[in-house]
Amino acid sequence: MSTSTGARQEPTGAGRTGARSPGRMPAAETHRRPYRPTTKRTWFLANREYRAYALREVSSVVVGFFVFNLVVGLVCLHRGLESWQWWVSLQTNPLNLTLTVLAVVMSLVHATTWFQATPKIIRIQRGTRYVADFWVVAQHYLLLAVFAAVVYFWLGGL
Amino acid sequence: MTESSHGHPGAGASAADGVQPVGATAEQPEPRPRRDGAAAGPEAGGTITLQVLRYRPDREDAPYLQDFEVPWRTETSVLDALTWVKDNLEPSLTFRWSCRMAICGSCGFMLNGEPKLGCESFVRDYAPGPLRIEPLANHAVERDLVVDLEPFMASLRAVQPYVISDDRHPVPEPGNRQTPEQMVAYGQYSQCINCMLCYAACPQVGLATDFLGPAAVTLAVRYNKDSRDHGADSRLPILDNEGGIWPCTFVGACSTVCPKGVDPAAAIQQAKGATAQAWAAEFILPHRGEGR
Amino acid sequence: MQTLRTDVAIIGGGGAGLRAAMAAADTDPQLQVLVISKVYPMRSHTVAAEGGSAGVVGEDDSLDRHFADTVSGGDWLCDQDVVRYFVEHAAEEMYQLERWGCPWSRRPNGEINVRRFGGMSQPRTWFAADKTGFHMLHTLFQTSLKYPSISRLDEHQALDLVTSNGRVAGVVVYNQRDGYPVFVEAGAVVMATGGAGRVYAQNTNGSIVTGDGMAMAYRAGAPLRDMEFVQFHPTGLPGSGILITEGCRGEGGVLLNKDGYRYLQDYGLGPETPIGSPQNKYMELGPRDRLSQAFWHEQQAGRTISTPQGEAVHLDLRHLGRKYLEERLPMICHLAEQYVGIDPARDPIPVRPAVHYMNGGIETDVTTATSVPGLFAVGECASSGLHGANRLGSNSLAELVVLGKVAGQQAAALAAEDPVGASSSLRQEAQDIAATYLVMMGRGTEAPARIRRELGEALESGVGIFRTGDDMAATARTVRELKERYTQVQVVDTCPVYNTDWASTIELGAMLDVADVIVHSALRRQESRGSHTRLDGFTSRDDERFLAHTRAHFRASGVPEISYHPVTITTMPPAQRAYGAAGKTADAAAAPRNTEDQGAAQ
Ligand SMILES: Cc1cc2nc3c(=O)[nH]c(=O)nc-3n(C[C@H](O)[C@H](O)[C@H](O)COP(=O)(O)OP(=O)(O)OC[C@H]3O[C@@H](n4cnc5c(N)ncnc54)[C@H](O)[C@@H]3O)c2cc1C
Ligand code: SF4
Ligand code: FES
Repeated sequence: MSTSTGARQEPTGAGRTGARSPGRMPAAETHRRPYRPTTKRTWFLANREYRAYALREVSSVVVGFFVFNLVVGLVCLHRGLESWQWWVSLQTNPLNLTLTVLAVVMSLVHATTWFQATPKIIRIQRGTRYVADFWVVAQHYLLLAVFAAVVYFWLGGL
Repeated sequence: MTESSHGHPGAGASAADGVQPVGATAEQPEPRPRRDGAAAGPEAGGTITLQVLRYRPDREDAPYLQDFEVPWRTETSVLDALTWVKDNLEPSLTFRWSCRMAICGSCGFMLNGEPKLGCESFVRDYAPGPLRIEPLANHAVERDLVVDLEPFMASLRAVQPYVISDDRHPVPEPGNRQTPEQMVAYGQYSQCINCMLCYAACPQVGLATDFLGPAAVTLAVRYNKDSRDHGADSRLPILDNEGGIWPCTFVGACSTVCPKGVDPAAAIQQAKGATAQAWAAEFILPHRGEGR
Repeated sequence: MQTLRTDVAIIGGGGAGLRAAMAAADTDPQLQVLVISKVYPMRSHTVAAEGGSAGVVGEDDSLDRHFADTVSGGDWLCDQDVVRYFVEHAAEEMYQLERWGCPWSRRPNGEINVRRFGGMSQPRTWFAADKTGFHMLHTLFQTSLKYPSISRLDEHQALDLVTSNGRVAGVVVYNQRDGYPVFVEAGAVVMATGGAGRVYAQNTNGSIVTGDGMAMAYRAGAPLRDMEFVQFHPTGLPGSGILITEGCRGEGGVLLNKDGYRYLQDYGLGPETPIGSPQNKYMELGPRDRLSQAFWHEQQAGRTISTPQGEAVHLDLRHLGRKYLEERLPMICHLAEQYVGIDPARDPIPVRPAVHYMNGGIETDVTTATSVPGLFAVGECASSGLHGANRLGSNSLAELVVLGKVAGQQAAALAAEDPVGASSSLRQEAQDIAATYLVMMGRGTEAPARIRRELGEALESGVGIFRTGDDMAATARTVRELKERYTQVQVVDTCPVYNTDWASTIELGAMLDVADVIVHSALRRQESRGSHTRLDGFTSRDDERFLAHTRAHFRASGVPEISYHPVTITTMPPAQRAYGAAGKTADAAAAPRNTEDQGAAQ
């Protein structure tokens, strides 16, 4: 076990005057000397919950890169055939492929974690009960499925 | 904030090396069979090492961990173990407690890094140990396991946690009617015991010093959602503020650790939603700001 | 020494103290009101009350019935003027709490719901699920934040009152956070420090319930009244003493002995009521003292259940079903699961009696004034005359707010008309008082934890559910001895901030004073009444000699000075106190005679 450092220090810190106290007399000198722990820079690695949160946040960065890539593609398309072909060839670059695969994974992570969180934001009261979290989440998956189907058939119809 | 003779765990204690049993010699109740580290059977028990954070402002510049060897039985709570240390080994060990039934909110500690109520956590779940007991994270430490609650008390006052009536809604005599449905709208948010576990769990409380924090925001939402209250407008500027609800990045840890199922994360997200709505309403129909 | 001046100082931030503070602020917004509490107000032990708070509502009930239940429940030791005032104002205060936001449980149409409670002839107990005290306290505390004239000294422990020419002029407190004493000069002081259940080993109370205010007032010259009447609650968890609310029985829970038999029918509480239809004042809904006594007899007869934490009986809630239990008694389900590993929907809960409530306290009249000018007392620390020899469940929470309001108004009126001027001699006295306590740090040889444990055991054995002269005398001697040892009590800790070693040792001093009064008051009462029941020849009530309040005065040396003074009886003369079938006939005979006569304050 550890032992006390034994250093006896005179109390520091100023006297607290009556924020909470109605008096007019000067406050006696405080013996408070609170220790203020600081938050570590790596706090987001501390436990599973924080790590999951960090992953959710990071996932949006990767998705952001992916969207940026698409925007570049659009700009190239607009510029003409030559630059479009340059962009298409860029897509086969291993780095870009990795990014795309990662983006798929991360957007799934992002979507599922957000869906999981939606019952906290959307609360539907029916009588004296709330609609179970499961149904709120399920609704989101249902919406996603419908949306995906629409996009799919729209593309398929092209 | 005191100790008492209640809840002594039973068996023979041995002070950790170097710990002076101060006062009378450590009490040695009748010996019981020891089963170190046994899972929580009906008759589990043994001894465990507590590693308790010590910080005495008149003596030390920084906290350190002190070990105590403590006997326990099935029903020994972590709080019982601490009071046993205070009564038998180290009277100067300081921690808050009162009700020992998880309702007064005094006894929040970090147990092996997780915020928990000491009176509602049991040694059997940490056997064979060691069990590290520290003051709640994200708080200034006044002494040993006692943290500074004044910032929270200021947040509490700031959110106007009381029924606000207005001229358009006179209070009916003798009282209001409120259906069970209307009660459910705020019921969960009225269960908060101000135990500060959610503050200890929230990284944003540690990073953004002026964040109102989960419990205070929850209380604002509790009144906003009460059919008897008409103060949402008055609370809006406190919530919709840099130090109000916006530091929340929706980590969600507050709701995970809450011992009363209050779900402060939900309350905060709903406050964000309501604030955004009020903001949009103001944008579309300026100065109609009726809030609710 | 730091000195603060305030008009009204309220010691205690529980239900009684907070209600008094708001009433004082409402009476005169110009006055400074200061609430002093050794814990943050929302930690006060009011928070632990589960069952509910009485107040007559609805056509089936009447003020007279509430009055009669209270007086007979108190075994005619109630001051009837106080009871009358109380029943007339209880519902009004419940509605006040409602308007302040208290989440009272409701009927489907939005009206207030009430439940049955032990000793009450009608359902009249307002409840907020099974967290009534929690919701009342938080509502009061949060509402008090609205008042600009109310300030607080949180985590400040009051040490002693300061008097000037026999009038209370302030209080010396210790600021735990900053680590220094403070003298609070006040025009009026309200004592609202709660009970003293911690003097017993097995109790339902929190660690802060140590009788500090009773001891402070007692030392300042105010008598403690009826202190021998200590209420045992029949259903605490064995070992921890954690309360399993009477609301469980109000909802239909039944008590079973080892043979699964509803033993209460053998103790004058029958006939047995069918399971699932509880009936007021019968069986499990009899008063607390009777139920605790029945347990004792069963234990003597070997019909209780042995658990690792001691003897117990079973509280069976299984027939209520999981859904109902979770709606009406959610906290009980949680407590049973956490602390004894039992799911009440599947298994019965082991319970046993534990000390719960001090029926006595600092003597006051219906205006909450004590006999020391400038000092008021309210809540569990006071003996207003409402509870007599046995408090009915749910009358205490209501008392906090009904009389809390009176205390605030009275204290404000006094402070406004007769403020205490600053005087340097008072400050010197305050300084001296602080010094006598501060000097305890780092001194002594007697371990306080040990004295505390021996005290708790001594009271259990001498002034428990049943009492005999010999046992009480033995306990009186033990208390003396412990007081003697306390003069050498050891405080190891010398740190000025949050010195809980020192603070709890001061509390122990208060507990010793209170215990001394309990046992000496009990010794002198040679009868059985309410929660004071003797086995040694004084087994029945003796109105001839003891229809009187016990009054204990402090004496600097030796035992408390005990005297008696009359009970105020207005409309309901003493009659037999009976429950179950016997109660029915007795009730008819004892109904208040003249209900026109309001029994106004005398
Ligand atoms: C488990 C339990 C359940 C109960 N259930 C019910 C029920 O269902 N219905 C009912 O009617 N009654 C019930 N009671 C009784 C009732 O709750 C109490 O009698 C009541 O709450 C006491 O309130 P109070 O305001 O007098 O004191 P408390 O709430 O105990 O408050 C005392 C205050 O005084 C302060 N204080 C004490 N000493 C000092 C000091 N030296 N210096 C500064 N401050 C000090 C404390 O900090 C605290 O703020 C129950 C009691 C218990 C223990
Ligand atoms: S919200 Fe939950 S964790 Fe936070 S203070 Fe309230 S009860 Fe404690
Ligand atoms: S002691 Fe009250 S919550 Fe733990």
